[in-house]
Amino acid sequence: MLGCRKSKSEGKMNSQPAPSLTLSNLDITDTDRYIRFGFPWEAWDLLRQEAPVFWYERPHFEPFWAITKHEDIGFISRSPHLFSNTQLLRLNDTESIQMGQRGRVRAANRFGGSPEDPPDFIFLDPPEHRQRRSLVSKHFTPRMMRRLEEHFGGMAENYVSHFADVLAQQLAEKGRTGTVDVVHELSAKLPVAAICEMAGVPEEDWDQIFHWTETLVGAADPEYQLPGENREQTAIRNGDEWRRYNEELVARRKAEGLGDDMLSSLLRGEIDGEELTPREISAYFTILLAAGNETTRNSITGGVKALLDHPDQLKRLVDNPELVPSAVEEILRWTSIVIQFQRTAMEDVKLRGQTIRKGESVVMWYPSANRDEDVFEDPYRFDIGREPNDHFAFGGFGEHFCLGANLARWEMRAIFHALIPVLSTLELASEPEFVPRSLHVGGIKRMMVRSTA
Amino acid sequence: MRVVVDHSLCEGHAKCMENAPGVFEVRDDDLSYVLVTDIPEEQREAVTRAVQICPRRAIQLEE
Repeated sequence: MLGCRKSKSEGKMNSQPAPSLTLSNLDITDTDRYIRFGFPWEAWDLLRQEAPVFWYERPHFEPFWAITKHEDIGFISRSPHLFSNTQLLRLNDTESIQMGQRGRVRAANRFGGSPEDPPDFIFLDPPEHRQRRSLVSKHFTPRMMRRLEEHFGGMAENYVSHFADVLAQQLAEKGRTGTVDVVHELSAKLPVAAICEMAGVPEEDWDQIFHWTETLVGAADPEYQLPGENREQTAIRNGDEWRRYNEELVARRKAEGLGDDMLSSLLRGEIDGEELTPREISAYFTILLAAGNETTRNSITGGVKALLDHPDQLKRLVDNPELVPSAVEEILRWTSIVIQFQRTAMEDVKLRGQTIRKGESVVMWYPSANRDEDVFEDPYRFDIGREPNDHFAFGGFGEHFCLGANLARWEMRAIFHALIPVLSTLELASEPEFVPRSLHVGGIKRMMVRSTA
Repeated sequence: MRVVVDHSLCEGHAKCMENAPGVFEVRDDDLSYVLVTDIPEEQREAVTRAVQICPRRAIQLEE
């Protein structure tokens, strides 16, 4: 979210309310603050400088080691034998953790198995993780992307031309008061279409899929709740609707015969000679669709904002369209949409003089790694030609590196390339609105722009 | 200097081949293969960089 929001100097005035920030009063877990002030850049800066491996204790959270340096996140990410995914995967407040545990019990009642079973394959370590991941990894290789390039490229151009039409229509009808939401009229469309098409979801269901994944992340937002529902009830209803649909789709695919889509790969897939269970297939499919939707959409929206906030870089891109690939990498670094993932130490590990004890949890703060002054020169400068740009927008490399990274890159390149003629006539009409209570993905739910020409 | 690709990790992201095309080749099975047994001096830097940027950290250097 707010990766794109303000550069450090611009943000100083309003990004931290505390008069002087110290290790004892800094806060990197209060989602209300994220919504009001943006990402806690100053707090991460202070942690990197003074306590890069910091034992963080705050109300409503189980204590954890906050890891904020690029190098340390890289080390943890390539050491799955030392830092396991099987316990806790995403930092959450205690209330959300309890809600998650009740969800595991419900899943076990419905599908069989135990509440202790991993909710999905990301909660596994090698070699089990590797076996399951490889069932679909071939769908995301650069080789596969090249095969889809022309087809998806045409889709990107259609979506951008739809966006341009809506902008022009608003301008013609309402002049400067005519505004358009970037999230729903532009950013959301290609990610949903691409992942659904690859997954084997029929086009008439794409809007519904988008709604389900949006609600999965935004269940705490009254906007996604039915009257009288609380966050948990919304999440349960949403999950049930989605699973029913998923089961119907599985049944239909089996009846019609398997194809070359990802759902077919899952249904065909075997681990040590055994098929995946219905619960594993449902969880796997959920992760593919949610991850494919909720990240790229926000990165596109954040990228539009970053370019509008930096007119010099926007002009540079318009004048040099060949910079699209490096601009996309800088947008990924700048927006840092995925905020954190968590691991659990499997043995005592020494890191920068601190001893992380077996069983303690570490949380890797990717936006902080993406502003690490030891890796990025002038990290708070948005530079669409930055090279090298070894950002951790897709995680810290290794076992759990984002499976969809090539797809996300490809989608963003296609969209920003098609968007070049439109960009110079765009103007922000309001600051972006953020999804509440999301400490995992910095979600932008609306961002209004208008056309100036 | 020798270089080895762990095929249980490699997924064919092809960053190695982009960076050191004479040393790595990603084939139709989406795995990267090392084309030379001994890395020539002038390729060392490119190979070292390939090790760093492999998204899966699947490449190991052996002196």
